[in-house]
Amino acid sequence: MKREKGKVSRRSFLKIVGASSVGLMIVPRRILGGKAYASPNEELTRAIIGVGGMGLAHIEYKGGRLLAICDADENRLKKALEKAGPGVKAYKDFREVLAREDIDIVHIVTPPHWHGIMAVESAKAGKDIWCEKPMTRTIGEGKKVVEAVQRYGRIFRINTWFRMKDTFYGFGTTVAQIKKVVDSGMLGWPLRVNVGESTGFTWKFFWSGRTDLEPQPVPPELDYDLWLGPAPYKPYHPHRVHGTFRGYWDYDGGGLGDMGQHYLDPVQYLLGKDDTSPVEVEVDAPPQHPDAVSYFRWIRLKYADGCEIFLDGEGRPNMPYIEGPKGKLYPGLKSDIPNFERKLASLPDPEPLETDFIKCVKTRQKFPLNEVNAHRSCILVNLAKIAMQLGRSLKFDPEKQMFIDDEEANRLIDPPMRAPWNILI
Amino acid sequence: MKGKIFMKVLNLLFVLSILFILPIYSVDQQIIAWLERAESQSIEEINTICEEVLKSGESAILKICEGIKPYGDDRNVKVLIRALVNFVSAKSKEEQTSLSDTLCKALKHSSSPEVKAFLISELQLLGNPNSVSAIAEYISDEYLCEYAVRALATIGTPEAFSYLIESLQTAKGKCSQNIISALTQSGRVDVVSELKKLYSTSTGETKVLLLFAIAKLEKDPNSFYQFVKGEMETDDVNLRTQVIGAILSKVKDALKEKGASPEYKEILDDMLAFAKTKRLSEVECSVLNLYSEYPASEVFDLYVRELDSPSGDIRAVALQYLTKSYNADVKKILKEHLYKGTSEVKIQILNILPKTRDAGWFDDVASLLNTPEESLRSEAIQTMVKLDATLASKTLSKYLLKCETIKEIGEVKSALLQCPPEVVIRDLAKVIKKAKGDQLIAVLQILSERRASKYFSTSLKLARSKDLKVKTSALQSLGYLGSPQNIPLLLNEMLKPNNPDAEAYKDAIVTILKDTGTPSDIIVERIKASTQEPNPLLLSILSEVCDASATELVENWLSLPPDQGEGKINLAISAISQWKTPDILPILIEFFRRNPQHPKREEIWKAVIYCLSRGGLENDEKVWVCEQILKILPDKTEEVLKYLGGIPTPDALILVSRYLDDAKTKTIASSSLARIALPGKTSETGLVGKDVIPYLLKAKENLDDALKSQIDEHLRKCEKGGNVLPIVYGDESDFTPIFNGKDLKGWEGYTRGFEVRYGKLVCLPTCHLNLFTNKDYSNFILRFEFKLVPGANNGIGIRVPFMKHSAYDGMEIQILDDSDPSARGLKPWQYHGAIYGVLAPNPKAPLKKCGEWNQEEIIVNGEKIEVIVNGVKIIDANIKELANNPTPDGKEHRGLLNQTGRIALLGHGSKVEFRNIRLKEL
Repeated sequence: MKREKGKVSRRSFLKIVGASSVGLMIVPRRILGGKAYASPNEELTRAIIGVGGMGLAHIEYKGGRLLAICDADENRLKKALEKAGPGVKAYKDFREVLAREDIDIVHIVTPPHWHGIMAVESAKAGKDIWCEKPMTRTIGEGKKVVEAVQRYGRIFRINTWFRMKDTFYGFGTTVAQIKKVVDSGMLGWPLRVNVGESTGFTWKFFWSGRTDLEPQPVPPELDYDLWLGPAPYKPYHPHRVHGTFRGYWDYDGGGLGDMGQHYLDPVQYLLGKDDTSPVEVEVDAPPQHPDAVSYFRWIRLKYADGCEIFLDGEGRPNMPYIEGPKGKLYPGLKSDIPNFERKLASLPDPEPLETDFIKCVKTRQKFPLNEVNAHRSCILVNLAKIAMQLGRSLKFDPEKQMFIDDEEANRLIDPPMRAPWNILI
Repeated sequence: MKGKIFMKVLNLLFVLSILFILPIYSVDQQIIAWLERAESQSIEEINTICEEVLKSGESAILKICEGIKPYGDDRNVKVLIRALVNFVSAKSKEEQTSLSDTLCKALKHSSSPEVKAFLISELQLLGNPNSVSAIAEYISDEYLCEYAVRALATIGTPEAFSYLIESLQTAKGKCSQNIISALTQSGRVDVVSELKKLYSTSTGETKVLLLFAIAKLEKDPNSFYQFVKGEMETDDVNLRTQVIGAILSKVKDALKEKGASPEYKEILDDMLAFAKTKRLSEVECSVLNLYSEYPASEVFDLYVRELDSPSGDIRAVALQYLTKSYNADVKKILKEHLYKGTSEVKIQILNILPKTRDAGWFDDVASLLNTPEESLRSEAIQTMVKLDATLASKTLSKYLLKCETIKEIGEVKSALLQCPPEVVIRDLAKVIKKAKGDQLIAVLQILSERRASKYFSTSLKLARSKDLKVKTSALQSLGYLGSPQNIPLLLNEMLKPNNPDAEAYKDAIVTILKDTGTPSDIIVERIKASTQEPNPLLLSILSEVCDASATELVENWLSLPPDQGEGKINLAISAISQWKTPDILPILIEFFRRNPQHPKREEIWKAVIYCLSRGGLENDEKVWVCEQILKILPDKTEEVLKYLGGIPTPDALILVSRYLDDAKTKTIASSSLARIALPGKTSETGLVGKDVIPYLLKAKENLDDALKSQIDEHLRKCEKGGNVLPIVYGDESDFTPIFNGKDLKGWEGYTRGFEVRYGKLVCLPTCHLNLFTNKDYSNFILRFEFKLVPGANNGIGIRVPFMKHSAYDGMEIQILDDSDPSARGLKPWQYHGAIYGVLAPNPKAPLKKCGEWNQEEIIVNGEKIEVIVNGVKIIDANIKELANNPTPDGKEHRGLLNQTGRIALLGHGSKVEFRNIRLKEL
């Protein structure tokens, strides 16, 4: 690896922690001069940041040529490189990936504590963004992502898709069919949506943290400091990272973090709440450990108009998925409304939502699940997480995106990051 | 006197000992108890603990804090401390300060950095200004500086920031970076010059952080711009991105605060020029977005020019602006671009047109259907629907005839399905005659989806088409387009000899019957009328529809004398062998009860097994079926016992246990009992309860060693559990059932709201009215079992006059899932078991989980009333006394002192199931 003298200061800025131990070749990024590198035949190019389990899946996503992968763990990089095939370069520091002028789309597939920073930096670097769920670990970071994406004219999506396509868990049909029922007013208003085991949604409480961790030496392949990034420094233990990070509040929020946006984004869409948020969150959960996530019994999110979402963590049986004053809708698209099938047949279909992100990138139209409504559905996850951590009901102002009369809760909306990480849009 | 003084001294000593010695001794015990309870399950409990801890004062809390470990398990200590922080955060400032002071002391006393880090994090969450100086101690600590600085930034008082500023000069490395980050939030302008000085000598990450800080704190955008603009030319792409971001950010804030001044526009103009030379489209987008703050007269032309930009994202920003300021001028410009622009531009314009809410665009968009570009046509199709769905239906249904590819036909179909159904049905009338192949199939699918019955005959003709694809799809549509009056016609088609499509006609008939909820009488009549053996397809319809008429026919045939009706009996058996719901089971059981030795019993038995195995029954219903079979078909005992082993409920266990003593059945009963009680495929935990032990011990005797050790392991768990099996009452021979398990004999009132199935009396979720016994009862013991769904609500009326309001004209003993969140906010006199509005239960009823059976006993004798739920007495009162006092709901309960009246089940719009309702008059 030949280095020119002039590049040294830049390297120290990028600061590839533990670079000396890196056996992989870190490719010097393309230098200066704007978009000098045109993609052949308008084929879009992509990079994936974070190549753990989900990141490996992103390698196979169609619609663009993969040019770069990035991870703080060298072993994971090696494994992903094998899968990615020739022509793909490996990086440890995502800022080097963002500095490449020839990359159009960045996939953010890291743990959630990184999503906010990486999404904002990608937007500033002129990349379009395909970000894993949950969108951001805090409400504050989510607001910044929305602003950055809009200011820099980027196209953004979250990697959940049920509002647009695919069979929605136990329904045997797409969300569009449920939307039709809701919009017809057949069930009445306001509605209560039950999200729990009996309606087909399990909360995966096995994503729990451990509280008996003794510090372990950091394995040589992992840049732990970089992995932690904006999160508080805590002694390393393998259970904190990789496959089990969801059990720790510093990085995510257990099963809520994992499945929350998958389950709840369609609900915001169904209820027509894409531009607002609940005004109240109530919780019943055991008192939470400050570091390790455990489970909840139930969480209730209430909107100003009386609609509510009930997250059931205890497997209450036989719940309807949606219940309203005029009728109930069960998994399998069954209902207690007489002549339901024929009534359903007389309704026009809702407008179909675009499912092709690459097409949206090319035509510069907003993806149906974009920074705005994804931030709103991620707020549901973050409200539930904060209520769980504080063990009390909270009132929320959807406009200001702040809690009402609760300073402690507001301190969790946008807590400071560990330097040198910070977000300026 | 001396004695008195002596006594006083003794007293004093005693008091002192209580004040000093006892508390010190008891604190540790108390703390252990608190910590054990800290992981308690309920919020109420943890709040009670917090209250106790805070009352005990500082020393107790410090003692708790001593339990924080650097690592290793101190789970409960940390849970408790977090709970305290949460608890006081919802209380007064004084209480918060007091806890904060104590945690600061603990911070000082602790020696491990990990413990300190934990305490500082909690102090950060608590956010008390008093904690600033204690936290500030650690600003320069290598390990703790990040924690301390974050906490100070969060607390955010002037004092907190003065500590940070003080340390700025001396701090090194990460500490310095953390402080710079924190100062960014401070709003302290006075540090800007200091930061600028540092900037000129910094490199790398620190430099970027300083840039952020200066951008945030520097008041004047222009001087900031002058300060950093040189850096825009840097080789370092990352640094350049940050510099540009900081400048744009600064300008944005200034525009928001001070409005659109020409001074900032100059900066934006500079940035735009820079972005264009360097071809940084994202920067151009951002600048364009910021221009929108300026009056249209100044920037409108700029946006129009950008519509011709080669970059799609820049065009999108321009279009966004133009759509927001949509008017005649904008319309003209957009129209020009829609006709002469590149196809990318056209698609982008199509995408925003619906936002203009101007249906005048419809013809322009429709004209694009003639373009050879497929992607453009596809966008046009979607845009038309959004602009005017009625017009779109007219245009697109005609356009369908021009479509050639399946893809485009699909797009038109999906668009038509979004248009108003009645309009589409009308518009397709002309199209269906001309449509061919895939076009025709799409038309049939749309019409089916819309149940457009007037196209039935057309579709019937098409069902004879030579084009196989069209034919199949027409046959499929018949069930959706057909109405009940079309069934005779379809029957004729189905019954035509050697009709290869007979199955398809059958499916159509089944779809019509089910889809419209029409009784299958017409099929039944046809079967009865046939002189020869009826067509098997007719029977197959009955097996799929499974309605009352179908069931009745099968039942009648089964009860024919075996020697005369063999043919029909065989037909009935073949029908029930493919019955689509398990609800034929009660009829088969009744059949066996009447004819235990019927010559066809084995064939019918196979149908029973088929019904039991096909799902759709609740566990208690399966157990009920098994119980009946065990009574009437002794030779099936082994098979049934084996089947019961797969049902993990107390009911099943009790039923199986009756066969543990019989030499013939004990082995199979034991192994089933073990399967029911032990964890396995059907239940993760198995049945864990003390009362399970004797059954398991008995079963263990008959089982092999491998199972024995599993049982032993389970027995150890059972010893720690409570009871899970139903309570066994003593001799009940003097009780009479008031519900016979078969029908509603003995009951009157709103019988339509109740249903009898599998030995249960079910209040339907649609039922809001009441069911009454047909006679009065005065003094009695009423025993029954009930099962709830989450949030379920019902009630038992006692001494109610027929058709009167139980709660006020008699008494209502509440039935309610009071654990459900929807029950939050209810008054105690509304909880389960309450005499509604009159008396709250004490204690609260120990209800089982929803979906499990509860046992209840209501005893009324003269003035006395008792309610016992799952063995716990929750109401024990004198009615006369209750009547003499004002009721807690403040309403008049005129019927409290009734001597007699009906017993009633009170439908409140949720499903509640009852069984074993029996009564002893006193």
